[in-house]
Amino acid sequence: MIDIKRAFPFEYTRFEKARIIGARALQIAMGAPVLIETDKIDPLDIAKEEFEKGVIPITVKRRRESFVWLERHELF
Amino acid sequence: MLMYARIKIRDTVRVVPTRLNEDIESVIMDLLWEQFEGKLDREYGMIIGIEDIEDIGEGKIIEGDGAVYFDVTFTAIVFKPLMQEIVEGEVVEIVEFGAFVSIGPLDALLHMSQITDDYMTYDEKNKRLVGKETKKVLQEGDFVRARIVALSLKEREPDKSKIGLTMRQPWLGSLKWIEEELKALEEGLNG
Amino acid sequence: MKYDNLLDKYPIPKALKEEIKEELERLNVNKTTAKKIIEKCYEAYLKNLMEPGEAAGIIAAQSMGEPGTQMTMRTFHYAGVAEIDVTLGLPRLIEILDVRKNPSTPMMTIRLTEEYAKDREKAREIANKIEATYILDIADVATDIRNMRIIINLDEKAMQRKKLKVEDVKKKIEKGLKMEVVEEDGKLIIQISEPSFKALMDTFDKLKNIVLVGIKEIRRVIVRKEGDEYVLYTEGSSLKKIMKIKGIDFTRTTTNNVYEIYEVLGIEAARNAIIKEAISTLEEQGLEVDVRHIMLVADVMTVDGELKQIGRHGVAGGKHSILARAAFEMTVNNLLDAAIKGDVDLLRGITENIIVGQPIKLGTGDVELIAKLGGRR
Repeated sequence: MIDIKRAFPFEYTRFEKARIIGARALQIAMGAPVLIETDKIDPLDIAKEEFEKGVIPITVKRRRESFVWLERHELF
Repeated sequence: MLMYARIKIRDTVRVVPTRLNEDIESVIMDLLWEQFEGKLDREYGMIIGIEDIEDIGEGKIIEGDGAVYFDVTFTAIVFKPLMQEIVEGEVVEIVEFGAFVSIGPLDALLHMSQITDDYMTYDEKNKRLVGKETKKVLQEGDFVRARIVALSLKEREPDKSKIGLTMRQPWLGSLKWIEEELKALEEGLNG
Repeated sequence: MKYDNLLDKYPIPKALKEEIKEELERLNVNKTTAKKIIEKCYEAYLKNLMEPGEAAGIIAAQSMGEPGTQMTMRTFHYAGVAEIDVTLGLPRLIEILDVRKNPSTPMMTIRLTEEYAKDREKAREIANKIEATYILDIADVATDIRNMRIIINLDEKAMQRKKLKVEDVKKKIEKGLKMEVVEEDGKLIIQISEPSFKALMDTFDKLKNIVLVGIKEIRRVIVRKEGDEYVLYTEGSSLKKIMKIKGIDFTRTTTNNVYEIYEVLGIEAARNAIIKEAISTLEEQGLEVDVRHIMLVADVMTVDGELKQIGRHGVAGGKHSILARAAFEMTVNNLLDAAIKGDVDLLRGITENIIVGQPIKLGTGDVELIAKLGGRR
C-alpha cells in the first residue's frame, strides 16, 4: 500500500518563492548587505539572482511538512 | 538589600536589515541595551542593565517590513526602591529646600524638615545645611542613612519619578553623626 | 501487466495510471525505457498539481462564474430527441446549486432489466404501468345536472391500450370517492345523493384527480430505443416508487432531481448527481468547464454528510465568521443578530480579513518566513 502521507514534492511553492524574493529585495532596499558579486542595481534583480544561487538566508516555516495523498483518485 | 533584583524578560527585538551580517547575538545584545536600559516599570522597577541572553527564537519576517523580529528571553538587573526601606547614599546636591541623595540609579529628595528634629538653615555660601541648635552640618559628599517614605515612579518619564526620604528617626542620619552618637553613648556607658 | 510493478510505486491517480499503461503497452517498450517514461510522466504530473496555498475555491468560482455569464436566459428546451420539457441553462444551474426540493422539470431515465429492455411490447407495458392515468385519459366525463349524476363514457380503445378493465376502473373510483358507482351498458354512473350543484362539481374535480394506474408523480412516459435496448424517459420523478417496480433495472435508473437522489441513495450518490447534472447543463450550453471545479463545489455541498445548498441556508450561511456571512447576503440582519447575541469573530477566514484589511492566509499571505542566520548558540 502506498503511504498516504507523503513529503512535499515541491521545494518551494510559487507563493513561497515570491515571498522569499520579495522579502529579500526589501531587505536589500533597506540596506542589508548583498551576499553575491553582481553589477545589478535594482534590489529585486539582486534578490532574484541571490535566490537562483541559493544564498538567501531565509527559509519557510511550514505548518504541514507533509500533505495527504488521497487514495481514491477514480474521479479525477 | 531588596533594592536590586534579577528578572527574566521576554520581548521581541527588531533587527534592521543593515545589521544582518553581524553576529546576531551581539546585535541583539546591543539592541536590548538600547531598548531596555533605564526603562521604568511600575511593578518591576527600573532596568539598569542586561545580564545575559537566555534564548533567541526564530527570526520572523513579517509582511511589509524588511527587518527580522526575534523573540528573545533574557535576564536583567532591576532597581526597585520600596516604601519604608532603609537606604544609604551620598549627598549629591544641597539646595535651599533640602538635599538630593543618590541611592543608585535614581536620586532621592531629603527635605529640610526631614533631616533632624532641629531646624535646619541653608548656608548658601558654603552650599550646606546647618542645624540651628545642634549645629549639625550636612554637605555634598556626606554619606547618609535614610528611610524611603514617599514613592512615585513615572513609567513614561523616569526622570520625573520622585522618591522622598526621612532621617528623623533613631539611628538615621549622616553616617558621621551616627558615629558621634555611638561614641557619646560608649563614653556614657564607660564613664 | 508487466508495467504494473513499475507503476505501483508512483502515487498517481488510477485513471492516469491506466492511460500510461495503455500507451506503454501500445509502444511495447522494454523495462528501462518504460521506467524513464513513467518517471517523466510523474514529473509532468507533479508540475500539474495544485500548489499548497492556491485559492482553489476562488478559481473554481471564477471558472464556473465566467461561462455562467454567457449562458442564455432562455429556460426551456426540448432535450435531445425525447420530446420532454427540461429546464436548461442558467436557471437549471441555479436549481442544482440551490438544491431545490422540487425542480421545475423533474425527469427520469429508466432502464429495464434484460428481459424487458429488448422487447418493445414489454417496455411499453412497464411504461403503461408507471404512467399516471386519470379518468380523462380513458373516458369522456359528463355531468348530468338535472339528475345530479356524473356519467363516465369509457373509451374502449384507450382502455385496451392501457390494459384496463371496467371493473378495475369502477373499483378505483369507488375507493377514491368513497361513493357507489353503477355500471350501465358500458357506462359508469355516479349518483350524487346531496342535491347541491357544488357537491356535484366537487365530486367531478375529485374524480379527475384519481390515479387509476401508475405513479402519481410520473406524468408522462416516453419509450425510446437506445442502442439495442428500450429506455423510458419520464416527465416527473419518483425514484423511490420506480425502484420498487419489477422489470426496472434500478442500478441504471436515475432522476435529475438531486435532492431525491440524496434522500433515496445517500450523500455520495448526491455528490455524483450534482457533478453530472452541472456538467451536462454547462456542456449543453456549449461551455467547457473542467470537472474538477464542479467536483470542488459538489464536495463543499456534501462534506458533512448533508446536502447543503450554496447560499444563505447552506454553505454560505453555515460560515462561522459573522463578517463573512454579512458580506454574502443580508448584511444588516447578520450584523444585528451578531450584536444582539454578542458574537465574536475570530478573523480566521479570508473574507473577514479582507474586510478588516489584514493580510489573508492564502497564497503568498500564507507563507511564514524565517531568517536563517548564523551566530545562534
